[in-house]
Amino acid sequence: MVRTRIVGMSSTSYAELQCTSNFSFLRGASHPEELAMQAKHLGLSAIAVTDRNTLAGIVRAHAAAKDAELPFIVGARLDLAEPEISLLAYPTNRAAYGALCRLLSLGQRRAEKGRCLLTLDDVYAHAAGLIFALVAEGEAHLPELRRRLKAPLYLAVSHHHRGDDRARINRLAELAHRNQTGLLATNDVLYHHASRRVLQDVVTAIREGVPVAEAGYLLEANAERHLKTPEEMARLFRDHPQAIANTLAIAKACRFSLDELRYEYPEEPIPQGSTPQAHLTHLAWEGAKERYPEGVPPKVKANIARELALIEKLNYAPYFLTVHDIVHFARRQDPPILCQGRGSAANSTVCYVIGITAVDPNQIELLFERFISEERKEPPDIDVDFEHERREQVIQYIYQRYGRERAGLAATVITYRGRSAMREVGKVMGLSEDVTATLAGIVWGQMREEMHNGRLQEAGLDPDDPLLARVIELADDLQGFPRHLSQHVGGFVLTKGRLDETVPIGNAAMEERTFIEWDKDDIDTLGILKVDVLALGMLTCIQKSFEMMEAWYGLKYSLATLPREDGAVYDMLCKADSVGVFQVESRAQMNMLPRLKPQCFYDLVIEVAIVRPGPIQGDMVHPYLRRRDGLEPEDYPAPHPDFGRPDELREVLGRTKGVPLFQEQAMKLAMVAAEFTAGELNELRKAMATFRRRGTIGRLEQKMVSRMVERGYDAAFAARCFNQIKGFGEYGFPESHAASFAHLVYVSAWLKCHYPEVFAASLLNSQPMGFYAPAQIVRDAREHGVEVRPVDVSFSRWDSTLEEPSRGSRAAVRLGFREVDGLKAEDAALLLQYRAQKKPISIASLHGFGVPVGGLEKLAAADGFRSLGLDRRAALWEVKALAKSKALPLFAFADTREQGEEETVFLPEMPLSEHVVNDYQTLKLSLKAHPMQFLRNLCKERKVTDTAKLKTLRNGAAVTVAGVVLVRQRPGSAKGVVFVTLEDEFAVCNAVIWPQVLESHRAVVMGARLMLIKGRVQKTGEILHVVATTIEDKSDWLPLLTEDGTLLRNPLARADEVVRPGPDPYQQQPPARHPRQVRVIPKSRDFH
Amino acid sequence: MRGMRLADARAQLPELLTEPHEPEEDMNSLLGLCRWMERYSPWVAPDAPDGILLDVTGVPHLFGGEQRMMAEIRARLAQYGFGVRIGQGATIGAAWALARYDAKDIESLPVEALRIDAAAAKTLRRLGLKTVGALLAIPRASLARRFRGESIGENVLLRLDEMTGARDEPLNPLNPPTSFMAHRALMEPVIHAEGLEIVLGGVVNLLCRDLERAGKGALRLILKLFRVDGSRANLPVGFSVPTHDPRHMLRVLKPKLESVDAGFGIDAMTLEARETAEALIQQHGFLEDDSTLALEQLNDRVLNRHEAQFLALEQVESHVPERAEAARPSLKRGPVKPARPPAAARPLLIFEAPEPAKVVAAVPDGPPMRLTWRRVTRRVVKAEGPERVAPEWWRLTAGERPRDYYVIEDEQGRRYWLYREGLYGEPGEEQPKWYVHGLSA
Repeated sequence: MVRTRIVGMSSTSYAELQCTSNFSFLRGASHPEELAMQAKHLGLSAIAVTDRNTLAGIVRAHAAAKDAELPFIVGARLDLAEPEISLLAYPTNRAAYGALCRLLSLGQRRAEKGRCLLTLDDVYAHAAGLIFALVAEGEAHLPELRRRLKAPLYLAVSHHHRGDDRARINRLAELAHRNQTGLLATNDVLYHHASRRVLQDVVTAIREGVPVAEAGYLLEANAERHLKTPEEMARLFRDHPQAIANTLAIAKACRFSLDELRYEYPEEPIPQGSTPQAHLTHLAWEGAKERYPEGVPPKVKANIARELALIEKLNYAPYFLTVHDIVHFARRQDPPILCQGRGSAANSTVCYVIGITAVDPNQIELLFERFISEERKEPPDIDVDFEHERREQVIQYIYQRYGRERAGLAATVITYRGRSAMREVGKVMGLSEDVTATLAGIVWGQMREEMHNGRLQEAGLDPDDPLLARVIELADDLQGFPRHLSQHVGGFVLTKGRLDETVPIGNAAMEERTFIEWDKDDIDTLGILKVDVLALGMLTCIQKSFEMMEAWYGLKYSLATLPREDGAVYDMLCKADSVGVFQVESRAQMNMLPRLKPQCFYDLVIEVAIVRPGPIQGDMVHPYLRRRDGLEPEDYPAPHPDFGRPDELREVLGRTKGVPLFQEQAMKLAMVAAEFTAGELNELRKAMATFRRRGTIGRLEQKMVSRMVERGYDAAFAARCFNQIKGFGEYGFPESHAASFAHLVYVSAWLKCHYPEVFAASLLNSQPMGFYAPAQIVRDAREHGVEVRPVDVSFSRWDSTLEEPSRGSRAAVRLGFREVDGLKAEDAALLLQYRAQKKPISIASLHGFGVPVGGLEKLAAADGFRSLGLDRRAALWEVKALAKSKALPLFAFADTREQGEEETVFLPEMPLSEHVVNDYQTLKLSLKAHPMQFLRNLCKERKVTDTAKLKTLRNGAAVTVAGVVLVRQRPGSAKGVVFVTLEDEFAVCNAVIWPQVLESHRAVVMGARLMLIKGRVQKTGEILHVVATTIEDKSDWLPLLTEDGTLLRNPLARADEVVRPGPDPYQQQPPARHPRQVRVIPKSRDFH
Repeated sequence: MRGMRLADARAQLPELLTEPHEPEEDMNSLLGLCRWMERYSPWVAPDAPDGILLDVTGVPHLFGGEQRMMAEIRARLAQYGFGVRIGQGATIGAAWALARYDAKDIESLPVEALRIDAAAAKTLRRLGLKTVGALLAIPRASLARRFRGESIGENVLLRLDEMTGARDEPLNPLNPPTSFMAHRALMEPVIHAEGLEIVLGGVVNLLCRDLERAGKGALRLILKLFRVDGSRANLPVGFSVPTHDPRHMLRVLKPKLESVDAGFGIDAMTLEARETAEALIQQHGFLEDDSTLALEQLNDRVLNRHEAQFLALEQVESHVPERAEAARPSLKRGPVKPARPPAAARPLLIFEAPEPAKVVAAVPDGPPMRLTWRRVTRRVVKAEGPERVAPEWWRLTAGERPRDYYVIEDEQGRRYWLYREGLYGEPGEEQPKWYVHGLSA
């Protein structure tokens, strides 16, 4: 019926020079890497990724093309301000690339964030060395362009499959011919494979804000805009073979590669007449003398010499000097800004002696060479953490020193995550808002895989519904697509020449901020120098502690001079006594501490790294602990003797008893045990960083496991190793970072151990930071014998301060005004100004001085007038009587008279329980008592065990506990288990809620502010959990605290019945406000 | 719970039903309920967002006393699905409070019952002044000095006085709703259509005069004919645009009369506008026939007579040719989304069902060279194409394949529009098939 005729095929070549990736946000439907890989797969000669007015995606495409050994052409599509004119621009050399970057920077700096405004005149001015192609829609402008553009010009044409292709392309060919321009064949690619048409329709609908079904002609009519084989392109353009040949001509002419952007280091930090290496050598030996006043030990000397030699060989000296310069700036400030370096290059003796870090690598035997390898040509990596409140000073210094043309913040690519992808796709696919919200609420990782695990049914959705299945599939594909660029928190790129000739620079949303188009991975890929200037709250806290210790006790300490390896500090940590201590204060870490029992600095390094998704998902934690306790032998799986030395893994894993815990170890493992090449390792590292890229990771897993098995390893061991690598993808923790963090763990633990009052005050003054709220910090300090005094108008300053103790030698902590909820800093400043005059203090005098009534009211509500003999109620009564505006002295009397003389009013006395409630409402903590103390009688009726007695119970005992909810957590790694931390007047207690219990008590678990939990004690060593079986919401006990106290004093009163009369169908009284809404206690901190 | 984030609520109760907050709709319902409440008192006012105030002075005895009246209100509203709480007091403040808080007397009411804002109530509680009684015990001067807030919500003393009655608070009732109705009672029963038409003309004129004065037009009318025997005929009619044109109204209503069985005669007639809207302001033409609304008026006449509707074809943005056109009610209200015409040309005639054909063409997408259709074979001399149209995947209809459309011309210069369903090289066994889908001139 149908006779076919085979069209002759010849081996042809073609380069696709017009590809839109998903970095043209919501236009392209493929990742740049996918385009490059598919181009290779189809046998194209070269590929260019031409995103709209941006080069944001080219580094990824470049790297993928390089891995695939496919020539990659840098390019961009310039959508100009003149309507219809779009030009493809390809730089032929480095200078032309610089011009393109400047052109894009110009356009982006002119426009608001994320936009670009360019005109033809701008293009004419930056055209040298570029090859252009006019996209056919702008054909009318071809003659003008030909006349004025001083650069090679082509007319880019593609098949639209709208029926008129042949006639249209013939006409365009004629036009091109008349204007002496070449015809350029492209397929105007929007996605790498035809199957992505669906996703392209979806992103178009998202971009245009219409449902897919109503998008009409906004959508493409067919699925033709994918990468096609050279043969197919040659067939389509069989009437115009020159158009195909021109693609190759351009590909050949564009010799520029991103690899040419070899980093050129800034010269600033090097003195005149010196070289970077000489200067670094000088600084290192000078620094060594300071670090080791009694003489540099020979071992250290040898290390420094060896490291300097390696640095010279790899030409890293300018990098170290740049970081040194920034750190040196911070140290010079008064007071100095505390900082500490971390990262692969930071664990060197050189970094220690020139002051970038305070960890002496010789003490813990962290060897530089372990982190820097000669073979891997990766750039050195040093991140520097600064006090979070003062980092901006450092950033401004960098801008000032290098100028905005040469220093820029890296970008962060904000991508679609599960929820956002689901929300957007659901919307354009016409799902109702509540279904979309429900779907978004249950996504968790890979959606396709999760579809049938029951979560959908639980949420009342049908997993077999084809529309739903489609939506989930599409949302899954959309995950990981870039949405927009944002500035990185602190990654700076510094160049010797103009930065805007290396990469386009655009405006940030923040005033006066600009950032480059590439993110950290891109910069890494190209080996461009970057310095991470990060903010760390704990450094602020430590700096404040150091200042306070010097001022109060006359002790001068620094990060490097604190006494090391102090046994008392480790003893404290082994007891999980770590509230406020850097990194190890979370519930999970507190559980780990008594099991790991850290005894030395390196144990802290492990402690920091072990409670992470990587080791947990890789099931590495328990084997490590068992080996540490000697319950299991340290064994090292060995390859078959034919393939390698039996102890090859001992070298990699010896420090961690044969169990890989650090990111570097996982990498090394792949290298040694599976013999991954440098290229494969690179691929693995990238797959880890972006674990979303399906396919890649699966292929790598197969490769690694099969190779390990081939070499004689146990398959289960191999699979476990790979699982850990996958875990690292979500949150990798390298040893080099862990070491620097461990030092801060030690320093903060030392402060807490020996100067808890200093530590607590500093923590309070550095809020918000860390895991715990002020209430827990204060409570912990008091448990450690610190006297904490309340906020008071006569004594407090803005920050918490130290005061003469009433007994003993340990200073007392006076809470600062900053703890008073809603009190403005300027009101407090006025108050302090008045106090400085040393005149008598009264509410009237403060008001007369100008402290606003609002501020005084806040202080009165916080019970801050006790030193004047006024309790909260009396003070508030007095403050309320003040005129709202500042009273002029002349009218003060008149005002009083007008209002009439005050009669004495007797207000009822506030019971203690109500004071406590008010303390929580105004200060979020109370020094007077704990709310649970007043509910003890009610608790006794319910046979509640208080947390003090909990410890005496045996494992498995039935128990009822009750307390205020501090934290609710559902760690991603714990498979739906919820951890709840309850607090009563004695201590805290952790409860574990398994999914099935959670389902039947969901509303209570998520909503209760005061909980009563029945369950069983689960004891492992020192750690005690209550495994919940039933949970009750007892939030309605809280309002009782304010009910004049009588109810609470008499345990026999049936409180509930007095408060609420019996039910009556019509008169049933819903309480005016739901008890949970009464803000008796601050909201718990949930799901961090 | 007010102020709670939706996500938090969902975390607690995943099956939670949600409705968007529509304050205007809420207010409309409240107003509607107020109107309904007028059966108990002429003096009704809404107390947004969730209350209704009734001045029932002198009313309860009509319903058998206070208790019975309240029970009736409760029971009737319960039938409509409203839960209701009723408070009765000598002042608005007291009634408001008692409807929301249980108390045996005013003194034991909590301070929140004073209609003050949350911050003021919190301060009072902090001061130990938790009940109205406690406040009343404080000297007025002291209260005045401390709680003379700028806004009414802060002004505790004012609210206190309003509750105790020391200060008058007026209740502003809703304005009575305007209704449009014309009524004629006849001296003698009328049986004949002519007579009825005359009477109808009278009520229509009356109603239209009232409507025009108020600037309104009727959208729905009900004509009630009262028969001598006490029975009644109801004739509803509707209009597509608000109207107060008596001629148009008559033309629509007259045919309706024909169907009415007058029985022993009609002795009264009522014409009531059940739904009205702002009338379209329009200039009447000099000629009698007013053509500006001719289409709508024709529509009204036909629709009210036959239960049918006019359809109009409109363009729909779809790449699939047969979906690029759709019929919809010609006078559908609401904005019409303008659609662009398809990018590629379409023939004059498109077959409702594409007709299978046999075609010889080059693989994969060469144009047809010979066409056999309706048993006649034609040689193709000119061809253009393909235009490739992929299925609309979001419709989730299985088995749809992409099409390649071609326009061809045969030796006689006849033009055909045909397509191949399916592409060569597609996965699957099925061979592509050819169809003729339309003809050009």
